[in-house]
Amino acid sequence: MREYKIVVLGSGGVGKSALTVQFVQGIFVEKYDPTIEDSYRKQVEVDGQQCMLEILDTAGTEQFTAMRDLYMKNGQGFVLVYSITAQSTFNDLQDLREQILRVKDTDDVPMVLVGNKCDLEEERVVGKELGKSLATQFNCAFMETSAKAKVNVVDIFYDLVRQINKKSPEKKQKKPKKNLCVLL
Amino acid sequence: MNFSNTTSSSSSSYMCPTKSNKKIAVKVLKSPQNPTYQTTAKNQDFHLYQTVDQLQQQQQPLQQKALMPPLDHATHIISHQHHCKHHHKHHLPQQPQSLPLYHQYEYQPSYETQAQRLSQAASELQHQKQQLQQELQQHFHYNEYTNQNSFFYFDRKLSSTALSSPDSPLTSVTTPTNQTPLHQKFSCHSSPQTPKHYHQHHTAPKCLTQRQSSTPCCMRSASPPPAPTGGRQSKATSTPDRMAKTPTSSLTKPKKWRRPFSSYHSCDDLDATNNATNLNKSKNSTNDHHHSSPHQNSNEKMVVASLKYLCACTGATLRNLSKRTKDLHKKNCYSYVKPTWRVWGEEKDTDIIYTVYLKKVCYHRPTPSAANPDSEDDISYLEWEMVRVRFVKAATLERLVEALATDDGELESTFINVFLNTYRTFSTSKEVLGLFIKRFNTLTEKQRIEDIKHKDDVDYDPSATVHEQHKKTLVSVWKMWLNGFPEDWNEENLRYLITFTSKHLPNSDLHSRALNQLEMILRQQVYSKKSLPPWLGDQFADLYLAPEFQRRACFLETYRFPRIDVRHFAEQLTRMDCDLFKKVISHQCLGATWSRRSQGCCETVVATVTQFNEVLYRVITSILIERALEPQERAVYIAVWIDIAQELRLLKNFSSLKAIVTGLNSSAIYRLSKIWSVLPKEKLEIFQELARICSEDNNASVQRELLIREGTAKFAETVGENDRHMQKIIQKQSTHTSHGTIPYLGTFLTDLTMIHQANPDTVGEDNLINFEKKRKEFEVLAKIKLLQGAANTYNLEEDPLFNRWFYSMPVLTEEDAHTLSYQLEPPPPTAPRKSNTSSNMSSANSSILGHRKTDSIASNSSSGAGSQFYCEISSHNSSRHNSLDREAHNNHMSATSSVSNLSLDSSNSGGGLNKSKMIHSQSSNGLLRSSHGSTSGSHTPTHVGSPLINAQVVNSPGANADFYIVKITLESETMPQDGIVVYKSMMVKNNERTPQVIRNALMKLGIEDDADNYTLAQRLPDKDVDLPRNANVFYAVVVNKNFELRFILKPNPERMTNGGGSGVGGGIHGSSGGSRSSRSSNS
Repeated sequence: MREYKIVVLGSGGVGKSALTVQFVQGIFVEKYDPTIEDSYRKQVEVDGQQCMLEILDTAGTEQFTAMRDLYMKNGQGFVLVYSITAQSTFNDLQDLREQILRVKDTDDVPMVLVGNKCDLEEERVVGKELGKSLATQFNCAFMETSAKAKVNVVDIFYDLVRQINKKSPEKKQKKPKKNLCVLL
Repeated sequence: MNFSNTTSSSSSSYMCPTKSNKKIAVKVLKSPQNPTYQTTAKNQDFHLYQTVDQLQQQQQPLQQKALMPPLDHATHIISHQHHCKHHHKHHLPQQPQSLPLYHQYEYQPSYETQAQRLSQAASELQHQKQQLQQELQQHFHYNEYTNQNSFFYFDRKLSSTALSSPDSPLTSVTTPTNQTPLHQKFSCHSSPQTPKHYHQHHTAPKCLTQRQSSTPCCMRSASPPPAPTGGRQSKATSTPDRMAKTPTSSLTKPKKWRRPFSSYHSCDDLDATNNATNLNKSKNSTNDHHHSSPHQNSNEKMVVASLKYLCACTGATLRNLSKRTKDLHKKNCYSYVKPTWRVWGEEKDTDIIYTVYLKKVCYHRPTPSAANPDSEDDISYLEWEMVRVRFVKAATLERLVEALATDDGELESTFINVFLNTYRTFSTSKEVLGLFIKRFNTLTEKQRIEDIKHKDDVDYDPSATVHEQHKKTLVSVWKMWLNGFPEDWNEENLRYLITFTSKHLPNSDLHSRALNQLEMILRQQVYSKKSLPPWLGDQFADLYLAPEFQRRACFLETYRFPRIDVRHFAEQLTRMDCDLFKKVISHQCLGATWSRRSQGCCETVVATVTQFNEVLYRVITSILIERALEPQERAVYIAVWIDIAQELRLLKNFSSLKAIVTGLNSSAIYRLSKIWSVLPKEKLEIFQELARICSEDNNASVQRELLIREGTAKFAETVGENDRHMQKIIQKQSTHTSHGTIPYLGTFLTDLTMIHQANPDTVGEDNLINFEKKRKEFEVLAKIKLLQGAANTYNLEEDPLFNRWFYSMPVLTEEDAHTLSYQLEPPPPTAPRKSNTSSNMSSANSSILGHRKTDSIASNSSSGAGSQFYCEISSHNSSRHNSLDREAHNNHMSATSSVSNLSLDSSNSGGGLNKSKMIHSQSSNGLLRSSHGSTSGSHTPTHVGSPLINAQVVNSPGANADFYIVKITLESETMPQDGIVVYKSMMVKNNERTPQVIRNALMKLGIEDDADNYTLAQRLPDKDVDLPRNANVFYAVVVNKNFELRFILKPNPERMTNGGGSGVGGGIHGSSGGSRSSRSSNS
């Protein structure tokens, strides 16, 4: 089974953790324990193929700015999250994307732009059009989601898997794991 | 005796998990005469099958030999488990859920005759049993209890009332008591071979059940007899009728494993006759029962309270181990004990919900004491027991405050810790303080009523009531709060508290402590005008003011980076981290609090994060900053950092270790393959081994594992199987001094954020506070606190010289680092990165040195230090950074910031006089600004004086020379007045025409507007030159080495529709972006 490393990035408070928990956990489960090894792994079937997603959620460590480089280096696909209720979180993504492209040293990085908290329509600050145009500029997919109302959450990750598949079709001989943990 | 008092009023009942109070604990006493038994009992969980038969064989002769045969309760249980596993279905076809097992011991057939007298009582019991079984069916999961360690419950609760009123067993069954003790237990003691012991043990259960306490017995020796409380009580109740209450714990004999003198029974086999038999025996045995030792009882309480706490911790820790980890443990022969907690059910009460667990507590064999020179044979002790533990799951705040003590007023230490550490997420200190006071008053009132009720009672001791006990506990919690969380106690709260204590507890310790604290706070207010909270003051004084910077003498010597003592550097980094880590207020890490970090409520945590970033950026900078180095020379820098990292590993400083490893792994460094290729292979391997430790893979499992293993260990001791180098190094390390541990805080922060996210704050329709969530959060906080405690083990001297080196070290932003990195090794032409289609990302290749420095510093150091520090820092830094642009070599890295200009002037030949001057003027400018606020009216000289390198075309080898970096700003009317000009750096490429540049500029400035509404002009020292509408800006600009490229966006006079570019709210990026947050660079 192929493994996919997906990194969720965005400013603090945009609901990254909510998206991740929603995706990994589905429904609320009392036994959820974020400290075990496979807390952020989830097996899904995308287009008839079994995939193991490992989500690296940067929630809580946004301020370790220097760590982002490492997150980006290890990730294959990226979820760039902003909150539609806070303009600044939208603006921050520009730099994040730049850094990703720089670290990855390519223009073609599987990426999804996500406007979260779309259940809070009355507090909306960032228009949907704005999001779309940024996505066009980024040349990546765009969706508005709500972790709370469970809107589009799974789609983010499915879309990313498809993008990764498209960009780098699985090489049968090589173990995917080997691709991931190159240290040097 | 206290216990009997308190329990006497409550009626007993059988267990029914949902509504009432109960029961439960099987204590197994082990008899020392049987060595096999001892060993097997220790490993019960693991060796059930192997030992049962063996035990049986050995048991037989021993028992026969004994006058009163020793009962091997553990054997009972073991065999029962065996039995259960194989025959459960057979035995219990109709009631598979009734797994709780009851057992009792049959010792002598002669008792059976007496039993008949009790047949009526027994039939009542039968009825109770059925009730119970119904309950059990609802509450148990078959699998849980069959497949895992079996649990044995004694399901009963005795009270003197019930015991002495034989006519009402049923009544007592049906009377639920709300005031449930947190733990009740039933214990059984096996006996050594003397009749005396036999009797004692046999009756012990009754006494124990009477105790409504959280106190199982621990180890005890046979003499004096272990049975804890009230001999008095047992005597009073030792009537046949009383025995009627015990049959729940009696059991039928197992078909297969029956032994002559003992048997165990499962509840499904329960029958009246056997009950009666057992009761009889119980009754008889009670007669001997009065030599219990109350003081021992209290000792036991203490031990068990601590055990309980430990177990709670263990439970948590064990739960964290993933399967893979467990396998690893097995491989490494770490003993892994299965957690022996089972959910029993839930209990509801007004405004509060409990989760009930059953826990198995094991005890060690006591060593025979000298004071007790009995032969070893006399020692019998409790092997293990089942304890019912009740945890608050959810409650209102008021009920939580009440739950700080158990029902009989005992200190609930775990609960208190959880509460005090997490209450800020659902309340405020003021509110809690108010509730404490209210609770105290309520208790006083209850006490008063009690006093009146008993005013004629001669024996009545007002100081011995439950209420009094509750009050005592409340006050001690209060003290814990006051001492443990000084940050909660501002002047207002303290005054509130003191007002209360002076009235109600005038002579108490609490009162005097509160007064002391208030005095301290007031003192601090007088002596330091700092706005910093008191617990932060010294921290930042150390770190950011660093007075030795300013002292002349210090300029003379300093460290020169690659030629340093790596051990010393590692120690100094650890010392810095340690100071910060110890000051972390753990509850500031809580998800709810940390997510509000921008509001300045998490200073202590932010400080550690900042330090981490600082270290990391310094690693990158130190490697890149010297431009004229051969790869071999540069590799030395990397090697030195690897050496430091290795020392940090031995010091167990995972924070800086991670910073260094991540720094070396950052793309700017990592991509420099020429340098890595000349690094000695051994270093490379060590680096890889260290990187494995810091890996975020699998939810950072390696780091977590290490922390669990070494968190409180004295030395580094754990290595992966493949880490050959680290194995050697760890073996070689000197073990003369032990070390604490400094964790990477980010993992905890993520965990807490996730826990916060995944668990709701309230439960049910009543919106009870979800205390279960708080417990989970506290598990993480407890780890942090534990490590903080361990960090005290470090004993590292501060070296001012190192501080100077550290703070004078320049810092590159990521972008600058990349630019430098690209210059050192141009990106391979095979994978050229197209510039962005819209090309409005100025930052990509743009940054030239000296450009975006100040902002990164400002944000890096913006960790909540007073604002006056910012100015100082940024002015220092600006001069530092400027110096970077010069072709200076060795000196500037070691020079302190304020002196760097001078040293550069004298030593630098590459940069030329011109530049030195510029730097001068800028740094002085910076200082000016910090002292006078705004002096920017006079900016023209600055323009002339500080062109820096901004205007230079990037023409260093490897960089494309077809763009400029320019500074762009927006013309607005307010600009000249407040003297702060916000510039953004952006890139102008050789194919961009005016509208495109304007668009890019608008994007950069965060303005959403049409490019047509603006015109672009270049700002020259003496005038602004408007650029034509469709000019190619790259070729149109005036380039002069003497001034920097500045552009200004002006609202287009022809299209002044609605005020041009009203700087939209998001114009300046939020600060959360850290290094690349908004930069308001001064002109």
